Amino acid sequence: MDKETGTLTEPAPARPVLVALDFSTDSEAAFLWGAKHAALISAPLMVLHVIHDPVENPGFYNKEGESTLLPIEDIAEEKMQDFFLNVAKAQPQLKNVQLIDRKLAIGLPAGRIVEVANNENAQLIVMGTRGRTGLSNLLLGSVAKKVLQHASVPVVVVKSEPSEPED
Amino acid sequence: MDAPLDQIALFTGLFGGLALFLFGMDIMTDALKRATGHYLKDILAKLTRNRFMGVGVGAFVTVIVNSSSVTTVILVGFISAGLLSMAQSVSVIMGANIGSTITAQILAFKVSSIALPAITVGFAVSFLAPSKAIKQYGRMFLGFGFVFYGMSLMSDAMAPLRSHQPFLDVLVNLDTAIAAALAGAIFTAVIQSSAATTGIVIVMAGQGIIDLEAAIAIALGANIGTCATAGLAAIGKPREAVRAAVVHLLFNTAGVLIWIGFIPELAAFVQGISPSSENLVGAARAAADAPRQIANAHTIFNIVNTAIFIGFTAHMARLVEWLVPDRPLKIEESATPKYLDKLLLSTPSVALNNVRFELDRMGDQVVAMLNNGFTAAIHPTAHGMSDVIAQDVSVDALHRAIVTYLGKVSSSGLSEADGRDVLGLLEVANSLEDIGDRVALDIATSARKRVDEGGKQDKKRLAQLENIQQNIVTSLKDAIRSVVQHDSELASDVRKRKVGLKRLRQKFERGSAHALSGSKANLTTYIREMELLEILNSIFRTARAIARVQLAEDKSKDSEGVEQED
Repeated sequence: MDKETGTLTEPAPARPVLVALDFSTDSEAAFLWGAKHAALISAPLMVLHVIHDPVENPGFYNKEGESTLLPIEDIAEEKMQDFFLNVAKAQPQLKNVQLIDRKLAIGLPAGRIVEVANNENAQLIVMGTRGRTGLSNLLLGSVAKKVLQHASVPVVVVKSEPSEPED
Repeated sequence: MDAPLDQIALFTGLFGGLALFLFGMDIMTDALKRATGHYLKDILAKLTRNRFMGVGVGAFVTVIVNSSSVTTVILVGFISAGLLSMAQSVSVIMGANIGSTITAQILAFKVSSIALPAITVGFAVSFLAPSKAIKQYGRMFLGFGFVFYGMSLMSDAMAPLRSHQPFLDVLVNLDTAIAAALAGAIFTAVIQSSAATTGIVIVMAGQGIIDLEAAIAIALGANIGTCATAGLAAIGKPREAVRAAVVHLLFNTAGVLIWIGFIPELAAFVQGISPSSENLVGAARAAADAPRQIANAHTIFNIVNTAIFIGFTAHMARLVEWLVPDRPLKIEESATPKYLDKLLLSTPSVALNNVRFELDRMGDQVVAMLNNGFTAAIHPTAHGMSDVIAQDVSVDALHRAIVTYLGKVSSSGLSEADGRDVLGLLEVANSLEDIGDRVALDIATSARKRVDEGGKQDKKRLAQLENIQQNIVTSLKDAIRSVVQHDSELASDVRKRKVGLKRLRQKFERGSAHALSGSKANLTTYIREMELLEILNSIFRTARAIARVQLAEDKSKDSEGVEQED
């Protein structure tokens, strides 16, 4: 019901919650937060992985034991599949994990995340952060920071539980 | 007074020699790539996350292909085809410069006396050798001979220039390091070969026409000019590939900027460490010693530059990502090939590998067509058949692109194994296109007839038919996968499924015949079911033919191995 006119209107389709993944532990935490939040507000969940080999540690898409070059996009798809298999195994309470809308985009992570969020009319961006510190943070910056700067929708940055410090 | 300069002899000697040099480099590089191309992709695949390994790989590949710009062009091709990332390529590009120092060191040898014997032996081997592989080694020798013969022609032609005043006046303009480096950069960019620039500089210094410092400055400039080759190759390519070409330019330019102020020091250093002709004095000694000194200077600045910048690969890559931002996201067009990059044509085995990836893509589309077409065919209204027909347009476009690309690959003179591979992959492409046509034409026609006739489908028989269709889809997927991944075990498994499928088919036929009880509706349903079954069966036969391509490739490899062992 439209309060001002008092007429019945077609409800607008819910805008998705976009979770950006880099398949790290932090992005798993971000995915779980995003999935819970989307369920809470009854919004569709959409996940995005930006295919980008990290410049400080290249070879992210090299396949262990593979002796020939394979398309990076195919390996990224496999990584996405593995990520969801692991999540489904670790979080059996999550239903229909395999049916979530998945997207892959090639490019620079921060720009692509903002671009996909705009294109898909997302209401929220959820992402993990690797928490780079010191000189490395100053020189290389962080994807999360850039997304926060450029996104036109709210951004939630999730950090995973810190692991037990080693003795 | 000096004898008048014979300008015709000078120009024919200089440009004829340069042409022979470049022709020789081209033959040598081409032969080296053909002989070792299939190792290249394996070498690059083994790139670890370790940048030092990347430098080693870059140097090694450059020594193999004999040119740093060829290595960078190969990298641009691999990145453009989605097989390698720009981040991985940075250290390889750095290593390529180190690899190019070997060429300079070889050029500094006074081996003009063996140029003609190398041409003779190379020619004889390349024409008389029984196998294509040995012919390639002959062509390497032939190219090597041409390179040195070209250098000796240039050297002879330039000898009179030593005392030709107008030419010496021109050289005065190169007395500053920046002017000399600029000349080296422009000349290299125009002739697309830094080795040729280094070769000419070695010849000129060897004739005493230019001094060591000017020669080093020109060789430094060549490092910038050589970036033009990869730059041109990257035009119109994806951003990652453009970034790799920019990394090359940035790294080489930064290196030159570091050294440009220290050329006298570098010259003095290489004079100190390079061998010297004790029996000569003055200008004659300087000229005799210069070639090795230039090669050593070239080696030193390339190695030191890599040592300096190896710690900054990430920052350099980040800078390039900032300089070359992404283009807006584009929706992937299913009818446009993704992996058929023209730059890969010079390494046929890599190009053929990418044809496999494109066939995989085409296969996915054909499988989707088969699924959608079948669903539409058994749907009471044959809804969705127009989408299937639209998908066939995309499959046909990919088929045309793959066949054209294979035509280009095969026109570049292939090894026997690659030649067989081309034929096999053509068969796979044609088979997939054939399946697409059968879905878009035969299944669509059958579906239309069924809608017109309004026959009813029995649920139990429908489930049986769906089971047969799913078995055939799985077999088709596996057959394609066996070719893409060279998996003969899987191909053999697909071939064996004939018996199981025949049983399913016979069971279905018996059931349908039993249900045929004379009514017109049952008769038309029976006819359509048998029609669909026959189309599916012919698709299965084509899937088995695709699997046979992989088995035939495996068999020919085995027989080659046996021949080699013999």
